[in-house]
Amino acid sequence: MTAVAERTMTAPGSIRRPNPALVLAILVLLLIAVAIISMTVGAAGIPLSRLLAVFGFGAGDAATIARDEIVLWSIRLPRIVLAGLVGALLAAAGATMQGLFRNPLADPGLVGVSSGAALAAAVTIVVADRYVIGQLASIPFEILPFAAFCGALVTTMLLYRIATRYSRTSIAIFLLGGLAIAALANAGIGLLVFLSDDRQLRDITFWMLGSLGGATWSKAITIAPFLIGSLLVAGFIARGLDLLALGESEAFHSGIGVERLKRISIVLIAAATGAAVSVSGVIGFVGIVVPHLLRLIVGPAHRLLLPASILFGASLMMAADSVARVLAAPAEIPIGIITAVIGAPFFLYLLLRQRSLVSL
Amino acid sequence: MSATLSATDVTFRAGSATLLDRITLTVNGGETVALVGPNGAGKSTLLRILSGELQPTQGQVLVKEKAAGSYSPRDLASRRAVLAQSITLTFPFTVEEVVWMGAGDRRTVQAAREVESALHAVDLVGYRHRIMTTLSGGEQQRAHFARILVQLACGEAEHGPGIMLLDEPTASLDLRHQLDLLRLARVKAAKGTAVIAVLHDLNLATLFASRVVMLDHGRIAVDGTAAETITDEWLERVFKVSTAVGRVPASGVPFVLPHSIGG
Repeated sequence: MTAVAERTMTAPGSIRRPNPALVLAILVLLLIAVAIISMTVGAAGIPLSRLLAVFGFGAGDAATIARDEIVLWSIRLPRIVLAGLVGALLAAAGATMQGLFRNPLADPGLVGVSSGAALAAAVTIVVADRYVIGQLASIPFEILPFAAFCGALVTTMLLYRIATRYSRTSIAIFLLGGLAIAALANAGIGLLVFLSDDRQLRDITFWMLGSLGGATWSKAITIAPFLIGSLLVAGFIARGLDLLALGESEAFHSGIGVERLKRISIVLIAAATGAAVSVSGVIGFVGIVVPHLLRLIVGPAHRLLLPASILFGASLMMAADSVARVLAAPAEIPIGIITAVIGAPFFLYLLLRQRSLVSL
Repeated sequence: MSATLSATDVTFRAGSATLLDRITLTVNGGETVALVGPNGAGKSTLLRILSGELQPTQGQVLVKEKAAGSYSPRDLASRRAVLAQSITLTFPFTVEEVVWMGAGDRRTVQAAREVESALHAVDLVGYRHRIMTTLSGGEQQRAHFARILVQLACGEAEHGPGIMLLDEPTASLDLRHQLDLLRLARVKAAKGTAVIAVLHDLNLATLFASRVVMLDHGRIAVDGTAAETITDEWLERVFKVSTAVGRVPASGVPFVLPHSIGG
């Protein structure tokens, strides 16, 4: 027995997982680097030397510094921070969704959860516009993440009911059911935009393709607690999601309260997606690309995968938003186009590789 | 010795079908019990009831003298471990990562030692860094058995001898690893663990079990030693086959060797 063991000590196909602390450190450095590059690009370029001057390192023309300061603090930084938050939330939602549905093809944007959140936000805007706005100058933004959360929650629970039967989740039914839910929610959004003349709703591309155009500090501050909450909850459910990969019965046999795990996961998915959608509309594919790439490097264990997804999701979204700002400057490309151009071929590649999983 | 696991008057219905009908079974620490019977006799259902995964329609299951339903999943998991029949893993975990899952959230030196000894026991030391899905069905099954061994060992360190439930553990294994697995289960039993295994192969059952429980249509047909249960009469009545059960000359252990497929 030991002879066999020693002979196969370096069995082909063996893989080594990198050190978790090292991975997280590299992802933090990447995030900082992307944030700095992102600060320098945009309609008004701020080269690195002037960027340093704004932060008090090195001298420069006082008038230029003052102008750069305004651009940076009131326009660019809130947008970068918001992009990071949205990317982190969407990646966290995607990774959790994949764990819950035992399905590497899950993404909140793709299966209608984001659209459900957007529909709830749009309904809230219209209702508030019709019945409440008389008393208020404008709709307080702070209610939108909660409305979107409710929409995402209903959609996720509906999707779970549709795709899961006798504690087995069908990947094909999950994807097709999600497609139908997304189509329905998008129709609802389209109808609302058509009927409403509200300024906040006039821009349908915001809801369909996403945008970080209206970024403000107050939006960033409103959704930041959702990310902190997601991070805390992620640590709590990580081991359960690992065991769920063995199957529901096996997770129970191994000591996991499966129903509780599912409920917490669904709330996490809905909260993260709702918060992201309320500030940026529907941005697809981030939730599928980020966890998948990371799984190749750090492995599927959620204790590392979830925080790594949050960091890498933030970097990726900041980078995508920089591209959206630069490519057709001074105009902006809707960010959902960028993520779809990267994400959709990636999704097709995954689909072809996992064909056997999706068989009807 | 006190009963480690007992089912009293357990009935389980799914819709109008009665899958288990007033089963009463007590298993003590140190016993190796084989659950045998034809397809659809209720073996796997009984195992799922005993594991606490299914609630009986009537009757009750006691795990270490407390109702199975009164434990939290976590407390139950540190007293009994279950090896299911076929497990499909969704994500690319390595063998070592899967075996570590047996330790729960224990990240102790003791747990690390159990993981090492389980990997040795199932002969997968060289495969520890392999992705599970690249292994053969039998190798995957052994990795899951190692995970169960770790779960049981970690639980036993805290609560004393536990319960091992195996659902056709040998189905995808080659002959040597079938014998290895059952031998490992018996070694655990010798140290006080109660082992219950659903086994299809009656010859393996006689080699492994200190006691054979034969199920038929959701009821216990006969419960006793292999010599008492694996007999011409019971095989005829329960399995509807007429075959002459042989006896190993020295020990008298029965063996089943069909001489024709009938017709």
